[in-house]
Amino acid sequence: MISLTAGALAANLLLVGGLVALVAVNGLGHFWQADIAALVQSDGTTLLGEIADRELDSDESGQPRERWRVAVGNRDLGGSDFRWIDASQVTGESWPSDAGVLEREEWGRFYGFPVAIRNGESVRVEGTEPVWAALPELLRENRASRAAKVDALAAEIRGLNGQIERLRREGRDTNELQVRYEEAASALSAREAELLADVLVMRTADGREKAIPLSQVVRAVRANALGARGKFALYGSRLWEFLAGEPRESNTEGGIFPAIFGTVLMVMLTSLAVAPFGVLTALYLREYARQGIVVRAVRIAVNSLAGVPSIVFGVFGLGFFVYLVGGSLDSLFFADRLPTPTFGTGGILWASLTLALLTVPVVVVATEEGLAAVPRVVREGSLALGATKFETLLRVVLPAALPGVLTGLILAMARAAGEVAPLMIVGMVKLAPSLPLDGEFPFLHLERKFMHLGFHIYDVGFQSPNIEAVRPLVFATALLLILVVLSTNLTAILVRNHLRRKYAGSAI
Amino acid sequence: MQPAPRLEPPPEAAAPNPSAFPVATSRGRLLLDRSAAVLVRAGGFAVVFSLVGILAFLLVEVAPLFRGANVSEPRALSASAGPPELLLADASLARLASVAADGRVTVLDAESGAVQATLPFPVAGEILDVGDAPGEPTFSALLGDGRVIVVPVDWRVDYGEANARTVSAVLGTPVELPLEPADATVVAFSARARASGSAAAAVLSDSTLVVVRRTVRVNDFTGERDEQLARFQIPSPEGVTRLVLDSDQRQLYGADARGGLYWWEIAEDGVRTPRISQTGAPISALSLLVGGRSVVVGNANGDLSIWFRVQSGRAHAELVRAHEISSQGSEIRAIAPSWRKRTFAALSADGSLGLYHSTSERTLWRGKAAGEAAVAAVLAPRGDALFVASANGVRAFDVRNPHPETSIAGLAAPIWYEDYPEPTWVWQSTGGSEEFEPKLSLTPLAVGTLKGTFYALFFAIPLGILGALYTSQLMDPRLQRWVKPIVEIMASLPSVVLGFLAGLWLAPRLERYFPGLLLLLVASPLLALAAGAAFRALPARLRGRLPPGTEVALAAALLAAGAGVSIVLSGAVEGMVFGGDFGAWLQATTGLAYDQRNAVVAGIAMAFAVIPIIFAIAEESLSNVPKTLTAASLALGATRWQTLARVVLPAASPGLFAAVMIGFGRAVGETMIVLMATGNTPLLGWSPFDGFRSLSANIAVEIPEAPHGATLYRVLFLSALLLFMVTFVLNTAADLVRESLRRRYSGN
Amino acid sequence: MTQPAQSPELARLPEFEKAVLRVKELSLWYGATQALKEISLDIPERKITALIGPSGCGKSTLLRCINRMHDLIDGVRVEGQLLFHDRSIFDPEVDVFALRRRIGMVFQKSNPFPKSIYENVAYGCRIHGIGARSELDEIVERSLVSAGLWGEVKDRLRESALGLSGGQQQRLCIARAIAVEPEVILLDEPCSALDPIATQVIEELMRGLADRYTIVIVTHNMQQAARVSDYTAFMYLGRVIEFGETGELFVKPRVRATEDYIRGKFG
Repeated sequence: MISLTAGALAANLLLVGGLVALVAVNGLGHFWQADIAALVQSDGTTLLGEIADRELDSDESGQPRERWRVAVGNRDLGGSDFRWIDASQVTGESWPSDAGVLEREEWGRFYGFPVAIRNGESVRVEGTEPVWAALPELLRENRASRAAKVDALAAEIRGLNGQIERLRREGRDTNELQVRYEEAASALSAREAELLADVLVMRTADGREKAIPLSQVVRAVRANALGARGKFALYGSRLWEFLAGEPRESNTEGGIFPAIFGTVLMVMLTSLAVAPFGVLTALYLREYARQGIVVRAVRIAVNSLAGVPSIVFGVFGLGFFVYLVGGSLDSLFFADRLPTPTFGTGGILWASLTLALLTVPVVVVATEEGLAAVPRVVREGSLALGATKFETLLRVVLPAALPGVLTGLILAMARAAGEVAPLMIVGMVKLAPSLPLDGEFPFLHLERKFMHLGFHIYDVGFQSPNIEAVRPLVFATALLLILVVLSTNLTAILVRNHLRRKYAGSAI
Repeated sequence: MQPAPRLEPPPEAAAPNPSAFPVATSRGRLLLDRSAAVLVRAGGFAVVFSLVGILAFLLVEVAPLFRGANVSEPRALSASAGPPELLLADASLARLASVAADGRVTVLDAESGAVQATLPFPVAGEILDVGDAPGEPTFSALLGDGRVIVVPVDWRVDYGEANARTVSAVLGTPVELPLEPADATVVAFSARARASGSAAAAVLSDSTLVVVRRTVRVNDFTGERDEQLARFQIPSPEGVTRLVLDSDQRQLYGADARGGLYWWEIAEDGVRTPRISQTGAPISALSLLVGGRSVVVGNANGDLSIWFRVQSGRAHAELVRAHEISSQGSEIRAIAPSWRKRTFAALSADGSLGLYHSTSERTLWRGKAAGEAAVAAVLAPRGDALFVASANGVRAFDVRNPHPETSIAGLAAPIWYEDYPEPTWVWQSTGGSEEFEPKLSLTPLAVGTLKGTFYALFFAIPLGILGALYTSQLMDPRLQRWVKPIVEIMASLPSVVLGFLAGLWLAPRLERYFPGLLLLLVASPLLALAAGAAFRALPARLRGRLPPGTEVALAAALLAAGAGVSIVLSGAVEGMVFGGDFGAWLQATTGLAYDQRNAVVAGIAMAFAVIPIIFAIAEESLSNVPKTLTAASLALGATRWQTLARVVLPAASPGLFAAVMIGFGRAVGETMIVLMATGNTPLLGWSPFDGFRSLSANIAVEIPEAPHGATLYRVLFLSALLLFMVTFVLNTAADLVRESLRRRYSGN
Repeated sequence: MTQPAQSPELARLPEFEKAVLRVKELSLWYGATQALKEISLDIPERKITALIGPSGCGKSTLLRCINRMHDLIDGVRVEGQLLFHDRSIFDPEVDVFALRRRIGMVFQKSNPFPKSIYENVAYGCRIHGIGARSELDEIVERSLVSAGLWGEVKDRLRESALGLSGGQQQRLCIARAIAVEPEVILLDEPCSALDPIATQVIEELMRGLADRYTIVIVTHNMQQAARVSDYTAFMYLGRVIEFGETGELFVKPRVRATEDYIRGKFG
């Protein structure tokens, strides 16, 4: 029987380790560029792509067979990013050094061989090698001219849009601005068309040609000609894009910066709200309350809050914060925008407050532990000097209990960072048009909706049509979330252990 | 605050070092101290307030579900000339049209009752009778020459100069349907018209049923109208006195004075023979609810029942009495259905009025219409007003009736919905059409919740408690310091990640290797035992020199290997035991289908979330068992296991129970995993291979679409309230258990 | 042994001493248990008074009453009087914080704050509103000198007080107490956790302080009481059994119980 208990513990540890390892391997693999294989099948067709998986399987008659999952990209031509093939049907396997993969703004990756670069009808570069040689410079050029011509104009249009919106709300005439807006918009589309004129012609493995505008190409990689260093550099570049870039293709590609930003900001706001609440409660329980029915009630409340499912907090947040408080705020201060709600809809403030409520018990319990670790005689020493209770708390007890408070706050932050269910109701969105913090007065926009790592996982993993293609990205996001949560938790555990050790000797 | 008095020292006893300090405490310090005390107390109470506030808020949001209708005192609208035969109300409650026996339409201001206009009947001829069309803004009239005229009433809305909204009634183009009764007279008729066609049905005095249908086909390109008139005549049962045609003009219902209820289907080529049901008492009123499938029957005794057709087996569909409403006590004269919900009002001969909901069988309100005999009643299209006509005029009742369809029984017990063969539990909040009736039974969701929780605990209880047992009792304390943080880390894994892995990684693999999982379930205890045996087989001297934790590491290695082997052998087991295909075998032997995202997948993922909770609490209560107890037992010669089983486990069992309760609470409320790892099908069933939908996932799925204050919104609040109460009770009980346990052993 | 009652003449202070604290028929209950029973006692000014007696006799309770530290315990009830300069300290009007400033206390277990040595000593002054750097520096130095700690710590005033040895910590607590210029210092078994050498240092320190402060010390250690105190009160079962000059009380106790206790027959 004892072996069973050891086995159960071993199983638990295996599960944790296995899960973290699974996410880590899959998540980190996402940024790695494998070599591109050209696979000739027995029916004469050729596939160009990366072999993503090799799997043993049995066919209909029970005979074992090997199947490969090949990432072939070219969603706009073939429909699906991946292809399962039977390994025994592969008659030729080569690693063409002139093959490349393009990461595009739309339609995902493209595997093929570059043929030419054209501008409209005129050919600028021709031949695989010359194109590979000229491509980086031309891409840079294209990007530079986009930045110079289009981005400024796009910013102007956004500004105009905002002004028009404001004037309309104030009931003023918007005609003049409308005219300017139309002009800018038509100029923009003209310039965009101009940029689209530069195209890269690619040939697929089966000989089809496809013209891809240079402005659509995010990155062109000649995978098989990259050395190990080149691959690591590419890995770093992709990792950076993932962390710091904007999402593309309805979140299924590109970066997750807005989600990271939203998560961090929300966690900060949550801890701002929960810290005073939790610390006051702990102070009450440990320092001010006389043992009795009230303290029992508070303790039961704290423990029950800890056990109430998070979705219930979400429901409460929706009904109370969003509809009741937000709705009242709207009718008092933002009546001119109604019926478009300002605070009467989900937003980062309501999400933070909901999570603050959810994480109060964490802060209370940890702070209480911190307070309990401060010996009673230390308090008496201060009181015996004529200090008031408050002075004793503020100058002696709280500084000594600070690690406990910090532990609580960090644990609360970890909990808040990983929680998704209540946020789905009170403010998270798939794609937020703007960050909740920007250069526009009043800088911090508490009413805005925001993106969140956890919701990103749910949304991209379960709501996107092409699950096979987005899975690596979701793994990478999950890895990031796990890392964030685990590192905050570990910090808390370390701080707490430090606290316990420090007072282990002096506790009465 | 009083300034504190100084303690004056006697003059000759001055301190040797004359004090540099003021002797009394400054008022500022005292004030700060007092206000800090108040603030801290407020903070402490704020937690209680939060909890009570959440509970109260949820209750306040839920309460309207179970309230009846709120019906105002009646307002007299007009003393119109001549009693109205029927009434038609405008949806915005601005106007009311009353149709007199001679076809004249009087338009009243629904607020003041002032007469706005009087519109003559648009077709010349002697009017014998007028009739309504439940759920549609039309009325029909039977002319002396056998024609039935259907007149649409359009409500025109104008915004005049001052942006003031005015509504006026306009009679649309009348539709003529010639019954051609020859020499017979018309006993009862019903008629409807819409853009695509119109129909009239009538029972004649010579016991025949006549149906006249005018179909209109408009060619979309040419705009040509092609009208066709069809007339069917079949023998009718004797004594039919009432007819009502549904809005599709496909079903015709009739009633006779002996209590017979008739149902004819009108096909393209003719009218089918009627199916007859006996209701038991003479039928005095007949109407259709929105959607046209439910027939409301009122009888001479004041009873009301709702009938709809049910197809059971291969037999012909029949009308069945699906719902009954408690008797109104006096003969039912008129039934006024709502256009939106399955709500209707009924008017009795003695002037008593009732407001009911068919599906929930709720009596929402009962009252009196007026002193004199009322003749007609209508519910406003949105169900927010009730108008009752009598010989002396029209009375208006304001109705507030936001949630007629919910009842406590209806949320838990099976409910008989239209198109279902029997009462059942269904959750289906939205449907394709406006006539769709939301079906909000919480039972499938509660069962789903319990199902998920069961499988989660099935995996989590053994792993959590046994692991805690080893950690607290048998493990080297140096290693405990490592294991506990690892379990804490397990607890902190975001459930969205667990759900994602379960749904996208585990589910497809489990589908392929399910026999492997079964194999692993059987094999892993054996492997653990084997690891233990191997460990003990080592010479004692060698064992002592091995680093602590070797036993666990050995078990982990064997289990990992076992898992690998199980996957490899999965195909072989599938071939030998399950005939090569587990899914097919399952279907063939048990009739269960294997869903890829099912309860087992969700259970495994939820176990991940529950194990650390059970582990932590179990470990704590096991550690609280005083070491002196175990030492005493060991000193008596008991083995490690005997000591555990006979001393430690009984002493800690309340704590272990508490651990399971809190784990249960966690599993009940888990949202993201259920959302991602199951198919989210809100179907009732216990099969481990089906998906399910839990109360919490249901909230997450539905509440973004639920309009604020609507029934769905409040029902979701109710499920949140249920979750709140369940977890509150579980946690509080577990807390009390743990506290008493702690107190019992803290003395030792 | 029969319950000895306190007779007034056994607790009288000689005429030449001036009583700075007068305890009059003081009784104290913790909930339903009576811990002090109608105690009367006068504490002489600028003398060391020792409270001795077996464990649980109420001597620490009495000591904590003197600066109203018993307020901190729930469910305490007091009857009788405790006069400080002829004013009852139980008077609800009394400013308890000012009282504690004038009646300092040192505890059985040294309890330096988790702050620097300097901040520990300066703490009381800061609380009472002295913030000027120079003034604080002077007070800290003077207090540490008085506590005989200056030489040992003057180079590490900014280091944590928790790094000091047990005896140093206790002297730091004494320095902290005298930094706010109290009239009375209450010492609750200040040496019980210290080794003999540290104890000796503290005892010498006490003798030095007795010139300027009224000192009340609770001790378990009869030799210590005999060595350092001017007056000794023997307490038993919540009562003062005998009070008198230390020399007299130890040499020829007037009550049998006192004699039994100091001869080591119980305790």
